[in-house]
Amino acid sequence: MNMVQIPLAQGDDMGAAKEGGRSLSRYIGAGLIFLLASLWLPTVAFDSHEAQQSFYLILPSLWMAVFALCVLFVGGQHRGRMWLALGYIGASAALGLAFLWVPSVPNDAFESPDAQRLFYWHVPSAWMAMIAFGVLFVGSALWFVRRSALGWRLHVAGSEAGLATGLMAVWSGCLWGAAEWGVPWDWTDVRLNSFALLTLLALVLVLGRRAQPDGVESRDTFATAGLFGFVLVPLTYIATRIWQIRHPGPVIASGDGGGSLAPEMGALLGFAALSFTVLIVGHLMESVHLTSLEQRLDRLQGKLDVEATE
Amino acid sequence: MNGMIALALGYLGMLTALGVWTWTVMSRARDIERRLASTEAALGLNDGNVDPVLEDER
Repeated sequence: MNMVQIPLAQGDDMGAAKEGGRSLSRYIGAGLIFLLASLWLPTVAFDSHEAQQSFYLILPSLWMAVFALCVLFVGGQHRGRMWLALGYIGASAALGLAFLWVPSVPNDAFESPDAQRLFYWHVPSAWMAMIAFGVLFVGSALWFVRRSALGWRLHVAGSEAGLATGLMAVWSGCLWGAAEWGVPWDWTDVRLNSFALLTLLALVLVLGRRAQPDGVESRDTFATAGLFGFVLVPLTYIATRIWQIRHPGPVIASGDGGGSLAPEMGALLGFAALSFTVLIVGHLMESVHLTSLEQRLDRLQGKLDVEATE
Repeated sequence: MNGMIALALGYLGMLTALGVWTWTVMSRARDIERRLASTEAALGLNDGNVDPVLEDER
C-alpha cells in the first residue's frame, strides 16, 4: 500500500512553533534563576549553619509547589511541558545538592558512606515508579470497563513512565548494592524481585504495544496485564515490612510514629520527592497528549491513504 | 576517590538520561503537532480529539 507522506508544517505554523520554543526557553531560564536564588538566599539570611540546615530547603520546596500549581491552572496547552521543564530543573538541583552538599551520616553507619548519596536518587525514582504504575492501573481499568480513550492514553503513559522510572530505581539500587552489600542483586529478597517484575511488566507492555497492530483485542490484552500486574505494587510496598531480607526497612512512614531520618536528610529527600513528582506528572501529561496526537496522525494517515487509492 | 568518580559518573549519566528522555518527549510532541496542524488545516478537519480504534468500533 502506498503511504501518503504527511508534510512538515510551514509558514505560520512554523513561526508559532518557534515562538512556543522561545517561550519554553524563557520559562526554563526563569525557573533556573528562581531556583538558584532560593537555594542561595538562605545561606545569606542565616548566620548559623545549624539554623540554615533546618530552613535550607523550605524556600525552594515552597517555590516549587507554588510555581507548579500556577502552571497547572494558567499554563494552557503547554502546562505538561512546563511541568516537565520545572521538574527537570528541580530534580537536577536535588541531585546536585545530594552530591555536593549531602547531609552527613555517621561513618560507621554504612559500609560505604559515600554511596548514601544514591538514596536521594533511588527513593524518588521508586516513588515516581509507584505513581506511574498507579496511573497504569487506573488507565487499564478505564479502558477495560468503560472503553475510555483517555483510559488508553493513561495506560500508554503509565507503562512508558513506569519503565523509565523503574529502570532508574533498579539501576541506582544495583549501584548502591554493589557498594554497600558487595553484590548488586539478591535473588532471595522479595522487595528487589517484586520491583524488578513490575519493571519487566512495563517493558513487556511497551515493547508488546509497539510489536502489535493497535486494535481493541490487543488493547484488552495489555489492559488485562496492566490490571493484574498492579498486584505487585502493594506487595512491593509491604515486602520490607514483612520480609526484611536484604533491602533496608522503611525510614519514613515506618508505622512506629517516627523514622530514622535526620531532619536535614528529610528536607532534601522531601525536596527531591517533590521535584521528581512534578517531573513524572509532567511526563504523564505530555505522554497522554503525545498519544492523542499520534492517534490523530493515524486517523489522518488512514484518510489520506483512502483518498490516494480512490 | 575512585568510588566518588564512579558515583559522579553515575549521577551525570542519570541526569543526561533524564534530560534525553524529557527532551525526546517534548520534541516528538512538537514535531507531531506541527505536522498535524498543517495537514488537518489543509484537509479541513477540525475534530482532533478522536481515537481511531474506538471510531472504527462504532
